[in-house]
Amino acid sequence: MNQNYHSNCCREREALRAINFAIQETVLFLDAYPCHPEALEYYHALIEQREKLLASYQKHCGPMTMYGNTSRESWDWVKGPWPWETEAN
Amino acid sequence: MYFENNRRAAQSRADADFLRRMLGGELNGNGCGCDRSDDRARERSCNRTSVEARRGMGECCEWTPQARQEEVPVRPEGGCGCQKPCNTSCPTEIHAPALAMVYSPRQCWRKLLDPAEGLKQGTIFAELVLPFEAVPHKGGKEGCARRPM
Amino acid sequence: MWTYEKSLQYPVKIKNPNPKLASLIISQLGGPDGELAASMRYLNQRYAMPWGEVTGILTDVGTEELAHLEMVAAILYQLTRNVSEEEIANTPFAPYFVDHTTGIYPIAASGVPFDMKYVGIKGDVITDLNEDLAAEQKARTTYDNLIRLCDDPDVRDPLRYLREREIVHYQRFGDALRIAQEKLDSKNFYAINPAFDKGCRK
Repeated sequence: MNQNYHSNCCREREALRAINFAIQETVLFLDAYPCHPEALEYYHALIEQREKLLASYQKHCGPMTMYGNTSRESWDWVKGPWPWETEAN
Repeated sequence: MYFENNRRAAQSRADADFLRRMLGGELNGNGCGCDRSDDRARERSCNRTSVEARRGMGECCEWTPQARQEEVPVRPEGGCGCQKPCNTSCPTEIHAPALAMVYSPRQCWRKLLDPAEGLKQGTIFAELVLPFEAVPHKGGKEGCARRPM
Repeated sequence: MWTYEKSLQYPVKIKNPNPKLASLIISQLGGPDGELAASMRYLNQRYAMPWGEVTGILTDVGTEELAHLEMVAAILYQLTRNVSEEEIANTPFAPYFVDHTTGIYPIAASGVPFDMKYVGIKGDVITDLNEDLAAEQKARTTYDNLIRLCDDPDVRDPLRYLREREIVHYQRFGDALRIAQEKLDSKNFYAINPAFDKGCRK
């Protein structure tokens, strides 16, 4: 897993960061305005994108959550780098 | 970069036009956002003496507290089952602000930044981008100088 | 419950260690207006809230504050990586180093460890939401002050991001307060405490 980390994985991770952030913002808006149809539609469009990005990231780069260790040979969840290290950013 | 290159591919359920309108802040249809192409909306939008303008018909004005309206918008209890039409009017008037309370304006769903730009700015809502601009004081210099961070 | 995502909400990539700057930024970890105080405030206030939208805002903002706590820790971690004793010795970071080396310990820049006394949880809807509005402004001002004292762009960038999040949260707590107002009697908002007087609610 680690040898892929500095190639496409960096770009995939940044794309996931952006989409997760847009979801976070939309979720907070919907908490305050739960009946907003446009916001709810945007939420679903983002979620669909996130699911594709997450599946790709976890297949190629490593688990994003403990539920996403796709390898059956290795437990990648405990492998570095960890988010606070510069290599992960 | 990744998101921009794959933006079209990434449309999925939302069609390209929808996301373009969304991200460009050109919402219409639910009375939210400024439709500047509509002459009638522009005409009536800033006329505060007009009852129609006070009824939240897509104003483009700065929000200010207004007199109480007779009808209070219906809100479903505890989260939105949305069986009744939901109130998405914006900006909204404060209904006769009672004393000894503070009031917050409703935010409009408009002027969205794309996710990558939004992340960079710290919000996807362009109207909430309010950066720190104070210039560091050197040697007790007085006066206020502002420049973007 | 909480699921952990193994990625910072916003990237932190600092090239130059700076223990002196770390001794200031640590206030956003363990200080009165820092991210730990914020997350404890919102996540614990939410239990008393009688309306889903308000509970939702407190849960989701509180969870995001934990993510910010991690970002501040990442800034401190990178500012104190690979530093020598000489680089630490005559800085304000030295007393912290004595007790914690370069471990991450929630404490204020003043040297006072994190304290729940910083957190107001009154169990009254209007009171708690006003506490939250104030908290977000205090956090923003703290970030303003840190940005004033910081000239490293690698550090200013995440500080700027975290500051902007406080402004957005302020709007959301304003929204929460408006939601509460709409569910109360505007002839007298203070007649009851809807978190406790459940029989009196609309």
